[in-house]
Amino acid sequence: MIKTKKINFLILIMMLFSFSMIVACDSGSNRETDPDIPTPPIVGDDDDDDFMDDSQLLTGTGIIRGSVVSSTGTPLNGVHVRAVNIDDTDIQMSSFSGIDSDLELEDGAFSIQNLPPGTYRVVIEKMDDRSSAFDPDRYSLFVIAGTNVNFPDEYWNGADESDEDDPSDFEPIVVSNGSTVNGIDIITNN
Amino acid sequence: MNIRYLPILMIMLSPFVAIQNSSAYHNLNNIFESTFVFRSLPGMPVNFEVDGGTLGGGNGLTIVQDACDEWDGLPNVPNFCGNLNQLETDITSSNFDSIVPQNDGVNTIVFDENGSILADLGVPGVLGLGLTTFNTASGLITDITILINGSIPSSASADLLATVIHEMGHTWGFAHVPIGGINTTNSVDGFDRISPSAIPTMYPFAIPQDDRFGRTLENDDLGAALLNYGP
Amino acid sequence: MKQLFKTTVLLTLFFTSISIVNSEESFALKEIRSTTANLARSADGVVLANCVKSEARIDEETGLIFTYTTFKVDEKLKGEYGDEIVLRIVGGTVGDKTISSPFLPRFTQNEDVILILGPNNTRGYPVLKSLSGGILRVETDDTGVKYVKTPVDGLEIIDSKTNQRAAGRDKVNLDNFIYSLNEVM
Repeated sequence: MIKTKKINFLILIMMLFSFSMIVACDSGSNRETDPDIPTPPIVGDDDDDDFMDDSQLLTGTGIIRGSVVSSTGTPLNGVHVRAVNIDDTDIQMSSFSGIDSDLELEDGAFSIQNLPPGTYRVVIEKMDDRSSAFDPDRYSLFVIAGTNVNFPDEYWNGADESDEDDPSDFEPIVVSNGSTVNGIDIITNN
Repeated sequence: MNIRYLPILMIMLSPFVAIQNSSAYHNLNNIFESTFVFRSLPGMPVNFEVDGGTLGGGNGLTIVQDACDEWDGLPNVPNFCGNLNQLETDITSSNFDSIVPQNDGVNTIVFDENGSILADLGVPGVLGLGLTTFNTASGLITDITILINGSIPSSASADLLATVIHEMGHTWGFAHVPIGGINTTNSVDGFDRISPSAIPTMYPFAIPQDDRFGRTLENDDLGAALLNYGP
Repeated sequence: MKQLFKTTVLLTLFFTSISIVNSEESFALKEIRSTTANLARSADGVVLANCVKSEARIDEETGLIFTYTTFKVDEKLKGEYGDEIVLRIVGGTVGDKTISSPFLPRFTQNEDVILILGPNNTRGYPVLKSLSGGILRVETDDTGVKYVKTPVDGLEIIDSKTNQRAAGRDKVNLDNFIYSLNEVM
């Protein structure tokens, strides 16, 4: 019995050692002045009107799901997909195409989660040959692995979505608490 | 099976269960055996050893504490920061190699007061750098080193507090966000420019109009935090 | 019970080995975005160079991996350099150990680049003035003319032959780019 207890203790120590290796951190330019720019926040200032507050989070957020394909129907990965709140365009959230909402690799798929309830439009943007502000190297290895494509920015345009639709036309998307809006499938105009 | 072994098995399996909980698109990631793996903390809060020297000529510990407060103020997410233990030693390029060894499980925040450590790493002039060690199979982060460049005075061009918040985000597993690329100062054409004050803190550059806007986390920052660490 | 012990020990050893072997490092950073012209003005050196080789090695003191990339200097636009320069930047893979980052510049052999450089670091290596703006990739079009592929910010492009303003900031003719850069440095 004593021997069994010793073995038990040894095993426990080995397991804790194994775990501790994995969870070690648990223990332990020049610019121009624009007079229209609002005053920056001071330290500890949490008063940010654009930020969803606790009550919104408690009542839930929504998800927008869809895909990005080229005019020939080829799914495109590494495309920046941005959801913009129509009533307050400073509420923006985004993701890259190539991952579905189950967080599996799926060519062309995207999902934007934790959106505060509201009405949105979705815009796609290419991430290459544009500006260092969009240099894929700034973002993730996944984006680098994305398709190098050349297409104009455009909104999702609902039933009129095609490879010839007006890039500036959009269809509003209503996101409510706990909802998932599917089928935001965008065809690039290239 | 004897139930007394259940907690032990749960401990053993917990890193693998955590894979299912980690997520988000603006997260640092890697491909492991054809599987997309996101990086995340295996436990919260995270304790830090903080450089004993100054940052930008001032008290760096206060800036780190303020950065922690911003992350810890996020709703519906556990606190990120635990104990901040300030070292007696001022970490410089001459002792960095011996004080900040990698993979020791000690998370360190270094104030690179003259920028020479970052220059030696081959990345001079950057405002800050977040270095993480992680398990390639699980994505779990096992070691954190944050370097903050103190040689660039804190100003509207480059704010030290915003930089510390940004680099902490990397070490929680968050990647950069392109929101803000379409912006007046960036002179890039596109739809729906965002106000400088609303650019996410995880935007990869100092916010062009005023980097102090990076002191507050925005919706996209919160979205990543919720996906990885939310309820 | 013995079988359970055996299984548990084996599982523990398996998970321990995974945590040791499959470890990787990654870094990410934040910069001040600057224009090509401003970077070049404040640079210690600007060179047109060709990538010869790139290899990663572990630094014994820190255990960090550094990638050393050797370039043949084809043209010195600013500063004094020898025929070769070597950039040493944290990151890379050695064996089963990796320090990964989307920021680690990737160079291909025989690639032409313009490097905007700062002063040498304490290890004696020249450093990029900026990771985001300090590398301009040069490619050759179908007609054999070299152009700068990386978008050029904040630099008025002048035609080297006509001395007139040339259009565009994308795919800038290399000769025009060098001519224009020399005007602002």
